[in-house]
Amino acid sequence: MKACRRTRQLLERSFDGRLTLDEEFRLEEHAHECDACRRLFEEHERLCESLLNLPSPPVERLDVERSLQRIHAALDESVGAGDAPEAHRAPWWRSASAAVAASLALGALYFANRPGAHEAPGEPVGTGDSVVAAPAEVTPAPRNPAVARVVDPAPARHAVFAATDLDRVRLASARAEVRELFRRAALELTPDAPAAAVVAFADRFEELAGPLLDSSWPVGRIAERLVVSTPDPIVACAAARYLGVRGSDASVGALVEALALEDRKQAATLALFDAGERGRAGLARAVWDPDLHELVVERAVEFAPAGCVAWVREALACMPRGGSRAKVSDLAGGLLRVLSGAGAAGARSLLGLAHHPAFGEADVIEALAATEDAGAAVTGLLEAHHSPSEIAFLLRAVDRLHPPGAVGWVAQQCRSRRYGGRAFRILATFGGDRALFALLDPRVSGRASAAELRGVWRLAIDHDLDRIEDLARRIADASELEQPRFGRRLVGRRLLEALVFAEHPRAVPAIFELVGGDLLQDDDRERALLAAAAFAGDEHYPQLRELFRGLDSKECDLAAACVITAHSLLGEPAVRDLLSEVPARRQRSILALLSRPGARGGTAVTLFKLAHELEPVLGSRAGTERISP
Amino acid sequence: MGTVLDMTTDAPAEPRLVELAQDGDREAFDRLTRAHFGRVYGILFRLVGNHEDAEDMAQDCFVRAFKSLRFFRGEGSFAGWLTRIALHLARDHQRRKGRGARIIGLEDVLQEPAAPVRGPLREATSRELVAGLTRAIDRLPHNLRAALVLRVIEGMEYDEVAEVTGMRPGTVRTQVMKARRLLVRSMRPWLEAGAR
Repeated sequence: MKACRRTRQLLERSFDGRLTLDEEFRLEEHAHECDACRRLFEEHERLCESLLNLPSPPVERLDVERSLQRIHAALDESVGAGDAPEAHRAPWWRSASAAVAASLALGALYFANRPGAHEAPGEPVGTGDSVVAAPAEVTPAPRNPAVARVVDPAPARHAVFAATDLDRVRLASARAEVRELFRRAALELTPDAPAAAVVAFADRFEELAGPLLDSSWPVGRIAERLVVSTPDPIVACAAARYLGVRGSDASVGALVEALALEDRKQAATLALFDAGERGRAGLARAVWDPDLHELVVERAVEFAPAGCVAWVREALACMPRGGSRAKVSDLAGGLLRVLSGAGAAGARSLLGLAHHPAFGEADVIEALAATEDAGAAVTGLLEAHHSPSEIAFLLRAVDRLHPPGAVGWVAQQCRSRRYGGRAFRILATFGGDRALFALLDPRVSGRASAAELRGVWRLAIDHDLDRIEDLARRIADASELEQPRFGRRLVGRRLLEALVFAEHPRAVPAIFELVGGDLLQDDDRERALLAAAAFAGDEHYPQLRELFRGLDSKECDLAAACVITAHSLLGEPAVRDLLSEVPARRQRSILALLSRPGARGGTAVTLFKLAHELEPVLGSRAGTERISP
Repeated sequence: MGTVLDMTTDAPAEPRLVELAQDGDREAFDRLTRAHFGRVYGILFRLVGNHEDAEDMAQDCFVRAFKSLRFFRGEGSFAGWLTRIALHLARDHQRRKGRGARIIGLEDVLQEPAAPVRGPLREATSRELVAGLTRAIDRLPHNLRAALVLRVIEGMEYDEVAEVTGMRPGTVRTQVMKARRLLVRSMRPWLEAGAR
């Protein structure tokens, strides 16, 4: 079967005469063996023979001359019937192209003669070297002589063609003239000339090129060609700067093209800055050129703080896809600098760029920190609704900047299950009374575990001890607090609890300060003092001594706590020092109490007995003023 | 009206004649008509199967050619361009008349022997075969018939057929093959008889 199938394929090809000798041999061999294939082969062969033997067309019956007469008659008849032979009509594409050409000619004539056409020097009227310039009769008349051609289109076509040839010659000479004028006008133009100097240069050039501009020569288009094609970099740079201040939208294309040319890309970049809004897209590309990057970034910050947010977005869209990632990231960093200079709008943009692949988050935060009034900018950002990733970024930004206005927002985040821990730690290091008050707010700290709370307060003590001590002092002195929401007593109590809970030796002075004040309840003061004994050091004894001396007869229990604490800190010598005013017999009695097992722990019994022993001592101070520390 | 033709004794090349005809020179067009009329008629005869229709359509083909001569851009041969017009006419003719209404011009076929005479029986068989084959060709779809006629009967190369029909050479080859298979299937009794 396989052989039959192959043979039939050969059979098909055999009728086209495309068989090799070998294939012919195989075909015949198989046909000899296989009846079905042989029959098929014979049928096809006979068909072909029959086709070739079909009767020839009866050409002898043809009368060609008579047929020709009939053809002529048919053609004449169609002409007579108004059906003009198509042979005499122009093909449709010729008609169409004629119509298009006529439209273009009319359009060109309209624009050439529209009001103000001559007040727009440098307006291109053609493209590149094939510029079809203004009419051959270069007269500065307000009405272009070519208007007459509109009346008589047929001669106009020839006139236009003639003018084009002539203009090519004139165009070459005009280009040479413009080139020379640029060279002359650019004598005082420095490469980094400011915009004002460039405008003065453009004025000077236009003064020199007055006749050319008056006669509607496409000076602008010539300048565009010079920017990219002239071998003279001075002329190219001058033309670029001229286009920057005076060019049309189309001129920007030439400037962008020039960005690829080493000897003129800097001038093209400056020209794009001169072009303002028109040059923005070109600069978005230029910023990725390592040679131009610094220039573009510096200028962008300097000249376009308002529009640079949109520009940075545009530049990021032009970010090169290939090449070194580190290099791209480095260049992208320049864009962050641009945004840093753009105030609140820049800050908002930076927030959006936090997760852009071109930037590291730390770089964005640094850029955010570098924005003018960064704190206010960041605080402004907090008001809006944010995605989780934005919240995480903002927490880092707030941690970096510590803007005062952000305390409330961070405190709010402390309640979040996801960011609570981080926000709590930020609050601990934030600094300032508001942050401290927020830490003391049970609504803020309610979610934290004991370990977290201890850690946070230790962090706060390490970070902002001065402020904590100051707050403790003001609470003890009954000074006015800045936070009216809480009562002073409540704040004092919470602070005392937090400091004792932190078990941080550096917090002891603040604890003694709070205990020394009479705002808090005696029980709280005693407990705090006894608890502080566990982590206080020798250095705290003088303050304890001062505290003890300030107590009156009603504060026997607190005095007892002081004695226990002093004994814990320095032992018997400290107690003798503290009780130096006390008679020797009573001192021995008190020391005997303290020497009992368990006395150091400040048990209620020890405290009670000590208070009893000290009552006459403190009572002797009655009627006298409290001993001031 | 004096033309270039008057100024030279040698017949101008076909492309020059075409150019002149395009400019409206009837004499140049007549020369082209005389040169190609027989061939166009022959193809049309193969496609439509009778002298009268073929002759009328050949005349129509040249009238149309003259009217639309401006469209000929010289990219292919003038003969090929004429053949293409002829094929369009034949297709339109077939559509107008319908396949079933096709009148087979047996008288045209039987006017001359289809094969060398080898005896009365064989001759009769051959005549029947030719008549049946003509009928079978006529029943083929237009594309298959055009490809078969141009390639097998007119002896054109596949590339030429492709240019004329607007198909690709590979497609033409397939069309010819299909046409041949169809003909074998419909002509099998005569082919078998002839083989015996």
